[in-house]
Amino acid sequence: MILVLLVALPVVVAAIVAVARMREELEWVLVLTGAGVTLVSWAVAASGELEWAPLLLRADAPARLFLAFVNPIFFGIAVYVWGRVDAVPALKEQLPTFVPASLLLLAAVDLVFIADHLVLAWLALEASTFAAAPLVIRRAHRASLLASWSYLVFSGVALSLTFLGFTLVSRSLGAHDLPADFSLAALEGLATSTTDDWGRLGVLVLLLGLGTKLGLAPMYSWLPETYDEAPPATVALLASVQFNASLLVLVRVVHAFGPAHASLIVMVLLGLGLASVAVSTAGVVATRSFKRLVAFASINHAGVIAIGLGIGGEAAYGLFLYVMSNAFTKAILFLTVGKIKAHYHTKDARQVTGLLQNLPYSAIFLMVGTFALLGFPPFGSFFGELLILSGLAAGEHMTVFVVFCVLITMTFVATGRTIFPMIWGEGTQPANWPKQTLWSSWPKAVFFIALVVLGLYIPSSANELIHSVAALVGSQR
Amino acid sequence: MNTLHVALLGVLVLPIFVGNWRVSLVGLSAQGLLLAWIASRHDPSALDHASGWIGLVDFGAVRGVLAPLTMWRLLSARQVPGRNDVVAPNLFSWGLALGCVLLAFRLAAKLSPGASSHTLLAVSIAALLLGFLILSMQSSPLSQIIGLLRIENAVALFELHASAGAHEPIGLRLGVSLAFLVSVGFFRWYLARLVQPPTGMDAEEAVL
Repeated sequence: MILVLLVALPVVVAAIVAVARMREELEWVLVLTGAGVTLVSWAVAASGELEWAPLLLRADAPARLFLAFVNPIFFGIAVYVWGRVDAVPALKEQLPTFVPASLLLLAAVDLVFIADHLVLAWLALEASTFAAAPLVIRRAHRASLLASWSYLVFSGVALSLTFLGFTLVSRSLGAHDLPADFSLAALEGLATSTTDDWGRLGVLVLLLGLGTKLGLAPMYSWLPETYDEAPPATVALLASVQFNASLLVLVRVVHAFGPAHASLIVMVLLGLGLASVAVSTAGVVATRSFKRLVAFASINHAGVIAIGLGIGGEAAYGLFLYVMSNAFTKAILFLTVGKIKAHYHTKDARQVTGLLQNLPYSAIFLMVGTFALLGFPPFGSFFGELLILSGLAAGEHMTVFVVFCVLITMTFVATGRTIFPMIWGEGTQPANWPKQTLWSSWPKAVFFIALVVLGLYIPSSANELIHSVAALVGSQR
Repeated sequence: MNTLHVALLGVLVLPIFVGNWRVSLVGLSAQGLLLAWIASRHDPSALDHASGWIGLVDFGAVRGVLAPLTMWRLLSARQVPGRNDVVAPNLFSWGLALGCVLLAFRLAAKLSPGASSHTLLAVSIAALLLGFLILSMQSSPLSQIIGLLRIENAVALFELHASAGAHEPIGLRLGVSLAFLVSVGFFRWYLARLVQPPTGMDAEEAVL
C-alpha cells in the first residue's frame, strides 16, 4: 500500500489544488508534499523488495535506488521555489500552474520507477511529459512557448518510437508463439527468444526512442532549446527528476534484452553516447550563453551514461554513482544559473563578471557545480567517470576510450574558459541587490553535501543498494 | 493486395502532393476510419474482448473523427489560409516520398517474405517513413502535428500487424488510447497559440 501512496499523495494534492482553485500558501503545499513523498520513498527504499497488485507495482532494487535520490531532489527544488516566492512575492501568481503540474510530474516519475510492466512505465513517462510541457512556458514569452512545443514534439516522437519498439518485440515473440507480456518478471524469460530480425529491430527502435527522450544524439536538438528557455525550477525538474525516469526505463530495457542482444546494445549505446559527447562538446565550445552551456553539458552527461550502460560489467557501479552525482550536479547548476540570469538579466557569460563579490553563494555553487560537472575529485562524478573510463579500457574499446578522452578534455577547457571568468573576474556592474543569505541557498548546499558524500563516503546501506543494482545491470554483459 | 490496404496507401500518399491543410486533415480522418475498418477485418476475434472495442473506438472515433475535426474547427475559426505544404513542393521531396513507399515494400518483403500480412506491413512502414519525412522537412506546428499524428497511426498499424490473435489487458489498451486523446488535446492547445500568437508576447519577467 505504501507504493500506492508514492503516486497517490502528489496526485490527490494536485487535484485538490486544481479543483479548489487554491491560490494561497501554495509554496507550503509544494514543500510539504515534497517532504511527505520523500519520507515515503525513503521508507520504501529501506523496506526491501515490495509489491502491490502483482505485475503492476514493484519496488525492486533499481526502483528503490532511484526513489531514494530523485524524491529528495524534488523536495529541494520545492524548497528553492518557496525561497524564490519569498524573495519575489509576484511569483506567487505562477504557483497555481506550477504546483499541480510539478506534483503530477512527480507522481508520474515515481510511477515509472515502481511500474512492474514496461508499457505501464511508458504510459507514466508519457504522463510526465504532459505534466512537464506546460511548466516550460514562461508567461508572455513566445520563445519558451516554442521551446515547450519542441519538447512535446520530440518527446512525442521518442515515446512513439519506444511504443513501436514494444510492438516489434511483441511481433518477434508472436513468431515464436510466445505471449507479448512486458511485465518485468515475464520479460526476463521471454526476451531471450527475441533474436530474430523483428526482435533486433525492436530493441534498436527502443534504444533510439529512449535515447531521444534522454536527449542523446541524433535527436537532441530539443534539449538545449528547452533547457535554455524554461524557468530554472522547471529545468531542474526535467534534468534531475524526469531524466532519471527515462533512464530507468532504458536500464530496464538493457537489463531485459541484454542477454539476447548484447553486441547490438553495446554498439548502439556506445555510438549514441559518443555522438552525444561529440555534439555537446561542439555546443559547449561554440556557445557564449552560460545557461545553454550547462544544457549542452547535460547532453554530455547523457552521453557518458549511455557509454557506461553500454559497456556494463565492472563499469556499472561507476555508472550509477555517476547517475546520482549527475542528478545533484544538474540541480545545483540549473538553479544557480537561473538565479544569476535573474539578477544580471542576461545569459551572455561575457556580460557576467565578479560573481564572487556580487552573488557570493551563487558564485560558490557555480564553482563547485562546474568542478563536479567536469569530474573533479572529491565528487562522485569523478569516481563514476573514472570507473566508466576503466571499463572502456578493460572492455577493449580503446578507440572509444581515446575519442572520449579527447572530447572530454575539449569540454573541460571550453567550460573553464566560459565559466571561470564569470566567477573570478572583476565586477563591472553595481551590486545593489539584496544581500544573499545562506538560508535561501540551503537546498543547493544539501545537494552539494550529497555530491561530496557520494565521492568520499557512501553509507553502507546505500552502497549495498548501488552494488545490487550495478550487479543486476552489469551481469548482463 | 487487399483493397483496404491500397485505399490506406492512397490516403497516406495523396495528401503529400496537395499543399492544403484541409486535404491533410481529410487524409488523417480517412486513415483513422480505414484503420478501424482494417482492425475489425484483420482480427474479428479481437471484438470479443473489451480491449478490441476500445481500439476500434480509438481508431474510428478519435483518430478518424475527433482529432481531425478539432484541428479543422480551430483552423477554420482562425481563418488560417488553406495553403500548407507538408513537404516542400518540389520534385525532390515528392521523389523522396515515393522512394519511402518503394523502400517500405522492399523492407516488408525482406522482413515477412511470403506472409499473408505482407501488404499491411508495407503500408505500416510507408506510413512511418512518410510521417518522419514530414517531421524532418517542416517546422510549422501544423505540419509537425500532421507528421506526429501520421506516426501515431503508423504505430497503430504496426500494432495491428503484430497483435493478431493476442489481446492486450484492458487497462493498458485504455491507457494507450487515453494518452493519444490527451496528446490531441495538447496539440490543439499549442496550435491555438502558435498559429496566431496572442499579442504582448516576449516581455521580460521574473520566473520560478
